[in-house]
Amino acid sequence: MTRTITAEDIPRLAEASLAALKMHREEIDRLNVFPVPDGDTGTNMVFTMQMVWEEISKCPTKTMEALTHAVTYGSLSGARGNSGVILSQILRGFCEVIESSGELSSSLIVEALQNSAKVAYRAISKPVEGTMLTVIKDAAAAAGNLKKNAEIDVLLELVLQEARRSLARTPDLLPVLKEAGVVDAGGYGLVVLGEGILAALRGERVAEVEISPYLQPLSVEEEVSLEYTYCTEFLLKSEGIDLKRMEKKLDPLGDSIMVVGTPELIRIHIHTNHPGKVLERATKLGSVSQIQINNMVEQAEERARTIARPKLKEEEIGLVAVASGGGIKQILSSLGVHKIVDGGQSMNPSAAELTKAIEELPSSRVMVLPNNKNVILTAHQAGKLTNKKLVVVPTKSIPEAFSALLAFDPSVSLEENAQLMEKNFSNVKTGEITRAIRSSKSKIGRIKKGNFMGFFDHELKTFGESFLEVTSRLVDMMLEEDDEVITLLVGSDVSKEEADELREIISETHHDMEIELHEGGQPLYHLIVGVE
Amino acid sequence: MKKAAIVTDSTADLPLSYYEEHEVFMVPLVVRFGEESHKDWIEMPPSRFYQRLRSFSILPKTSQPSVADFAEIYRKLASQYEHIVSVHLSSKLSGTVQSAEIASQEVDVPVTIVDTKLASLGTGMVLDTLVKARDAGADGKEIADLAWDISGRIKILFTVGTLKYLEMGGRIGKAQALVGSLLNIKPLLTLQDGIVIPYKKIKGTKRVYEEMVAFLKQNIGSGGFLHLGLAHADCPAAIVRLKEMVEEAGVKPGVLIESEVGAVIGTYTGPDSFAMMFYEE
Repeated sequence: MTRTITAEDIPRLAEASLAALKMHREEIDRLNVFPVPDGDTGTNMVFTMQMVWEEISKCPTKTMEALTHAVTYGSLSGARGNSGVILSQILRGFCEVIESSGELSSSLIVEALQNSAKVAYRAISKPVEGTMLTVIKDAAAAAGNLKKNAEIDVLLELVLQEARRSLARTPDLLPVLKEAGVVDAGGYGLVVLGEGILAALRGERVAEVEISPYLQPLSVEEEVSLEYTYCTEFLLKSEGIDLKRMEKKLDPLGDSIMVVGTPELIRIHIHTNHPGKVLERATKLGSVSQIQINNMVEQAEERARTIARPKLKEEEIGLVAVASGGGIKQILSSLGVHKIVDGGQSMNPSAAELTKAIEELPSSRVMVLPNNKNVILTAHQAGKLTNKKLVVVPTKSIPEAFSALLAFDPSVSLEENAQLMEKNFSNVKTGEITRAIRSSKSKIGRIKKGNFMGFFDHELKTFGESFLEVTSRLVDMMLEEDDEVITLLVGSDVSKEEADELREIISETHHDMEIELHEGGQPLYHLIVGVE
Repeated sequence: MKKAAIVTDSTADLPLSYYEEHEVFMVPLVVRFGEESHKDWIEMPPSRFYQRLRSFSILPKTSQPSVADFAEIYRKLASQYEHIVSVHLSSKLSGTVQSAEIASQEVDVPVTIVDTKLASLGTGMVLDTLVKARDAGADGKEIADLAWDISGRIKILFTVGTLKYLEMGGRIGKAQALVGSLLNIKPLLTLQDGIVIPYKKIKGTKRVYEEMVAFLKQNIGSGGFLHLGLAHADCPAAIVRLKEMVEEAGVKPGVLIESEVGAVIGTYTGPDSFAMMFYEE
């Protein structure tokens, strides 16, 4: 039961709100995506409250007037970051109302909260809804509807309830929050601060604030280092097991162990590196069902990836490319390709396969990069099998695809992109090195089985027994005066040593060129060379 | 009472001597390495900053000036000037404008806060123009109008040594499309409506310079009086080369300002980044 708050209570309440913010600082930091996603909202709010606390400590007379001045001054001089600035305005508004009163009643708190919202809105030239401004406004409005003679802690509890609801609504008001799957960081900080005050009023420890469904790490750099890889869960039916003993048995195998239920029906949850051993031990005790094993490392990586790259939307242009080789596929994805269809020389995908990839993308407009002369026609064919708007960018090789993708601009039309991309890849020359699978005659001489053959823009130009020699000759033939960059994509049949040697030889003979070597991992072609 | 005071923040990336010589009042942002904090330019000159940035594994963070920082200087100026014009970096990149706006409510003289929607020497070039106008006798309102006008006309093109810093600092806006490419690509970026957006992705360092010069030529008419700014983050050779290429292309700037990218902006661009900004009179 709390009827009033006196000046004597203020330092204690400020300390509690600071403590609560400190406790949740990292969570708040992680939520921070607006206005600038630099992950420091929690830190800034802590810093701001820290200064409030220091001013209060320095305050010589602990009168309401002196203390409210300390709060206003401390928050204003300490305000760091947008959230700190708004917080300082909220505190200022609150203090303006209470500064000349001896003690705080419920009705005065209501009035103070309403002034907080007013002052905060007035201070910001372009208030954005879905931020801590909205949370304080909603909280103040809810306070206004409450009975004026309510207990202070009851009043605060109800106000906080509304603040939490308001916080949960922030993603609906601010799209950037929804996209990132978070609630507003500053709003969350405000709720945390309020929780701290309420807990202190009631003489409780600061409770955890429960809004975690929205809590998702923002950081793309999320570290994926987990001690145990597999989250293992199952049901165990038996004729009677001691739960505690079961738990002990599992203990050496992992952590986050939960053994719950009755001796006859137990649900078991464990993070472990040996799900097999866990299950084996369990099957000795009874019958096991509903087994679920998840790879947490992959889940974490996947989450990091999806956060890093927002999902493709219907109105955005989808990009499909045909390629083979793990390294090449990775590079294509990093350049923005949404879907890769397996294929290439001597393994052309069917129109149906391409159509399937096109249909699977949410986009209504799609561009296809065939990356092989023989796939271009198939790609056009696929266009007739789909209702989506399709443009085929006629790339005949992987280096051409790289250049085309560099010119892609998500903000312009499909047609404009087709032009930009075609123009960009027309400057790229492609070389390929492959091995003769049988002896044959050619325009440039007799090729023995196993010889390396060098193609320049798909025409046989040189061959020989040494991979490095053939490559050197081919690169020499490809180079012209204005060229600057050589990109080497090494195939799956080339060893790391050979690749290093290759880079060295080419760097030596062409020291004025920028040389980039990647593991392409493609079959058939020992090497794909791009020159531009 | 003097007519107008010009206030800015440290991210205009002009050397401290400039502010002294030209009676411009500069409020510093802060750069922090862990628990240490340093005032941009004043306590942390660019040279020392990049040395630390290159050798330290912790990434610095930055903070905008507090409301009190601005209020203090505005109050001081309010007794001596009829009008305060406060010119700052894009509000989409920093909360500096917000601190300044709140502080401006503390004083009785008119304060015009100008969100230039620019950064670094882009803001610096606006300032330089304002200083000249003030010295020629312009009053507060004229200076403020000029600030809005020039801010809207300055074009910026820049490249970064690596996208890592922009990405980690969260200042990347739509440039996100560039992030994470495995190929060694040089991004050319620009500021549009105060946000960093990609202009082009380029393979090969030499082409970066060629593209910059081409962009300059595309965006200027013939014979106009050209203001050109060049700024670098610990790579002076880059702007020497760029200057040469501008000259070779037959472009002659009427005013040329060269400077370094300070610690706060450098926190988001990283070292080996350089920028070109310009407008025509």
